[in-house]
Amino acid sequence: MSNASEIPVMPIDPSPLALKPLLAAKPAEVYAHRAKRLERLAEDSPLADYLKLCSVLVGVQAKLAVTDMGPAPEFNADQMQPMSVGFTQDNRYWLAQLQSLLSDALPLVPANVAEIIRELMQQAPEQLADWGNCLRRGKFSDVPAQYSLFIWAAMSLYWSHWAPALISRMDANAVKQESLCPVCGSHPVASMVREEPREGLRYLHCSLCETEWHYVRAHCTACDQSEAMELWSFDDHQAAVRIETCDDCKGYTKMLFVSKSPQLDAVADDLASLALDAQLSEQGYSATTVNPLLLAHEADGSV
Amino acid sequence: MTLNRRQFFKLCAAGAATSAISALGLMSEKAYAAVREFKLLRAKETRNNCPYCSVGCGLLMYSQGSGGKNSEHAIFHIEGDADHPVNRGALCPKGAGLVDYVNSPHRLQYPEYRAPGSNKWQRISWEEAFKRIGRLMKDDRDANLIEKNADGVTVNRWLTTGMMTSSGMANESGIATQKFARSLGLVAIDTIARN
Repeated sequence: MSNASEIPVMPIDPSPLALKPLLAAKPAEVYAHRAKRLERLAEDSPLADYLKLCSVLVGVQAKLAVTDMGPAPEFNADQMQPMSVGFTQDNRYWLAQLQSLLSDALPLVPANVAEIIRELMQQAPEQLADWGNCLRRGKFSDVPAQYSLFIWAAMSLYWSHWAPALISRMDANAVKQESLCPVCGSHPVASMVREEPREGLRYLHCSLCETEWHYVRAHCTACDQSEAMELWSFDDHQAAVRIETCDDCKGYTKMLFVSKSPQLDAVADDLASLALDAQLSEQGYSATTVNPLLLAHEADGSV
Repeated sequence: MTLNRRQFFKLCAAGAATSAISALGLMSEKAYAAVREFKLLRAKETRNNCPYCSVGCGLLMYSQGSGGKNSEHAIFHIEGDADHPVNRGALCPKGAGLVDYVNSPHRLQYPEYRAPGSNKWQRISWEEAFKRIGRLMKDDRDANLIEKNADGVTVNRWLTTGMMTSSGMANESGIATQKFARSLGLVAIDTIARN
């Protein structure tokens, strides 16, 4: 008799309903959709000015996503998280994307933001590369808050372009339930409950490379416990935007039900539903996710 | 790494430069004002299996407490578990109606007895119910048990009574049920999976 470890647990399944562990992004489409969604959400948001700025920036990302991305990064598809910062910290090709992004955004933004963009354009490449790596390591407090938005947008543009090429060479069945992006090791933005390949599956959306990976429902995406999961929402138990909390680790992730509202975008709708975050924070829960448009400095406990 | 968005809100309200929003001067005081208008709802999320047939479809069940830490939770929504390898999120009509079974006012909550010829059910105690069931089973078995067949071989068949069992049992309860029924000589055993 063979060892248990030799028995294949996941047979090759030709069914269209078969679970896909990794969904590669089409960056140009993702950014175009997000820019439009941000513009729509800005119409009746108390954060309208900021959402409009984000919409402009993401619109530039959409435009640049179809242009030449320069040299490809080197990676080994057999490693875990092949694009994670540990393997790619010396990659500076994204700096070219940053300059394009800044110069394209410059004429489209308000004067005070344009001033900040000009400052950022004058920073030394070493400094920018260092800030980029700090952000990817989650050390948001080490980067001036007014720059982080633009730096992340440029890195996202570069890495989301190469992620699908890498995914096509990765063994998707080797991807297990992971808290961080199996491609680039970044935090998720939110949980997307999708209709494809079958309704009701949860995919975590990567904050950097826009890849989505499958994660079992009603399990904590941060600590993998399932004993004390709760869903919170405003006014309607079946709302399209809800929050899933775990009482074991006191963490939470936003749940976006695409089947209920097809136009939902992970980044835009997470940002536009901060009121729900504020309520859950008051209940003692903390976000386990990162929003690229909201790279807040880590709490230092002084407030 | 943990991000505390509550502190983020507080810091932004105080005008401290902690995120792009505030650092770029685009934080609005209105962002805090609108929050209180909504009613915050909370639902417990539990994974389970449908007990109504032996397929054992996966379920996600949502319940809410009536208040208080140890209060009983009432289920208000049940859906197919998309992650479950058997049903992949789908449910049959019976499964799709589960939440109405659970909350049905017609659910049997105590033993009831309808006398022969009567059209009325009357409530009886569990003690009475067990005694009556035991008595009737014993009488019927004593009268109708076939101990030997035509060839004189011992068979111990009890053909005049059958047993309907649950289909959502673990192997252990299945074995216990089987032992109980077969030791009485019951031949007709079925599960509710068939209805």
